[in-house]
Amino acid sequence: MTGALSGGKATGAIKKAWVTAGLVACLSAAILLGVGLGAVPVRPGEVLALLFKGPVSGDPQSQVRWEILWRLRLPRVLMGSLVGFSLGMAGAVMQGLFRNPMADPYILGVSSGASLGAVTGIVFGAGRALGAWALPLPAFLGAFCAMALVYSLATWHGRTELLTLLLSGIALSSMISSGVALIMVLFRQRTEEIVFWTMGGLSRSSWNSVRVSLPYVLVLGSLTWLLSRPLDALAFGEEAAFHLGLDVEKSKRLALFIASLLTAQAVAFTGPIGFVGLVVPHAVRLVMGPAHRWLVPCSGLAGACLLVLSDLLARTLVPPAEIPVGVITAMGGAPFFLYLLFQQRKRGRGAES
Amino acid sequence: MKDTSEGIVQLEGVWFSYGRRWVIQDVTFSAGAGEVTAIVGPNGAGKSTLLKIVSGFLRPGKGSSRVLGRDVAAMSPRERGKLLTYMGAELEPVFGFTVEETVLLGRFPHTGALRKEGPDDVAAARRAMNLLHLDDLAQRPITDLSSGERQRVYLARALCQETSILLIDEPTAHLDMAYEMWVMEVLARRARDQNAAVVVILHDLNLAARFASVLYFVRDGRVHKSGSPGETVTAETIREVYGAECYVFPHPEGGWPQVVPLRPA
Repeated sequence: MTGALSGGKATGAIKKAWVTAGLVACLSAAILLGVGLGAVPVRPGEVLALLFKGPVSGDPQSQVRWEILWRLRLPRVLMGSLVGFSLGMAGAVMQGLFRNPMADPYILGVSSGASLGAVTGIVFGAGRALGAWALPLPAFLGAFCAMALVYSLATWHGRTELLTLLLSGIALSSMISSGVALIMVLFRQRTEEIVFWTMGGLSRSSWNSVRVSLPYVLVLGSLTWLLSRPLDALAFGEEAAFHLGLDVEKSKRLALFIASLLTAQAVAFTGPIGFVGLVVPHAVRLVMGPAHRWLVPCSGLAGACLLVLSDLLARTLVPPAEIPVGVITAMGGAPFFLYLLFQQRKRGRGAES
Repeated sequence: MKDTSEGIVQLEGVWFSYGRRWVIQDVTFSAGAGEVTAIVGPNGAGKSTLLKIVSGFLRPGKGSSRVLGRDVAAMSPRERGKLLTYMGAELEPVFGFTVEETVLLGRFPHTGALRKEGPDDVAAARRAMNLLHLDDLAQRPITDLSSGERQRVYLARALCQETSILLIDEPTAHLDMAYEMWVMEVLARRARDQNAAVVVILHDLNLAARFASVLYFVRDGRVHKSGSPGETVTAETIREVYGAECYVFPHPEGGWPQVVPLRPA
């Protein structure tokens, strides 16, 4: 009995560690591919040489490639990883917290809030005052205000009710979205810019955005991981979590805020990118199980992989045009997700018979 | 023994309301260490509410609720989790945590949010699973289990918490006849061997009469009668509390009251 029990646990952990290592390897490969491929393709070996040793001196070709890789593609690919990582993690947190695999990172109205912020920025010409931060800054502020508003609507006497939170998120989101639509109609000459933002994409990525996002995601990501066990307890419902000795309100608040802040950062830089935060945690859960200490970081890694690869396809499939990355995440992600679901159902049926 | 152990759990003149109506009215209740206390009564009598007031999940509108002489609401969540546990009607599971992961969560108040479970915690989980015959199910996702199996998993999680107060709302729900008796036996042993205060809500008066030292008959949010099984489990009390006619006789083996329902009054 003793051996079987601890043995089962150990093999489970080893398997999960291998899957995690596999995801890290996938992400590295995806980054290498993403940096190498494009209008000017560069072999992986040369990519590594260019990135780590710099351009070959006296070779103008090499200098040009280095410029493309270092100034254009690398920040874009890194932003893709950071945003995918944030959305994957935030999705895992929201689904656990709401005990609902249909929950996604935008549940507190973060994406519509960000849209309103960005659109306001576009219309009122924040570009002149804010420069490179003309879109991310108002978008982040919009996201933050929406999240704070939804949260305070659902909080009564220090208690936040999740169902109310969900419903006020939906209500506020649709209200804000209609606001965005209204602005679009009123300022028709900016419609294209606005539509482009709301489709989401990584084309605006720069080293500046990486420099801001990297420490932000590292800090909030680690905090999210530290919430793994409270999230495990909350997955059994608030009453059960209370009796397991959890400070339910505090844990809920922390999880909601951290996940929404991660999401707000992601949306602020790239616009709303759907599907990653919804499907990735679900898919990862099918392989790794629901325990958050594995689910949270692996959803981050898988989200990063998915977004980097999707962005690669988005900019290389029909050059020189670019497909919105959200279209790719959904087109590639959905069949894969259905495949996993189907596999699980087959396994379930096998176990029953 | 009974004198020293009185009132580990103590409710004094407790009133509680979810909104307009008082669902608990002036209830005084105590449960001692080393014994099983049963709360019985018809549906909607306020039994579960009462137990959740004891656990601190609900705050009484009037009156005081204390465990070991202290206000539960004033304790830190972890301190409370180490001292008392509550198992009630659990929600349908959404995620497939394994049986072992679920039981190990009972160690949460001991480890806190940040420390990983150590060998002691794993050993406690293993003991609890073994006690409820869950060894073979350890790696199965709880979403695959029957409701009776899940009931045993949640009981194991509560036992794994190793608290000196156990509040169990219908421990035998979903269980078959053999497991009903086994689970009550496990809880009675926990009370006796570890001097724990065990409070259970039961619908089966025969189980209550057999395993509990003290019974509280609750009706319409009030304690109708309390005392030993012999004093309380009578045809008269049952008629008053449930509105049902019963035939009560001494159990052929143990002599505790045995109830045979006849008809609704």
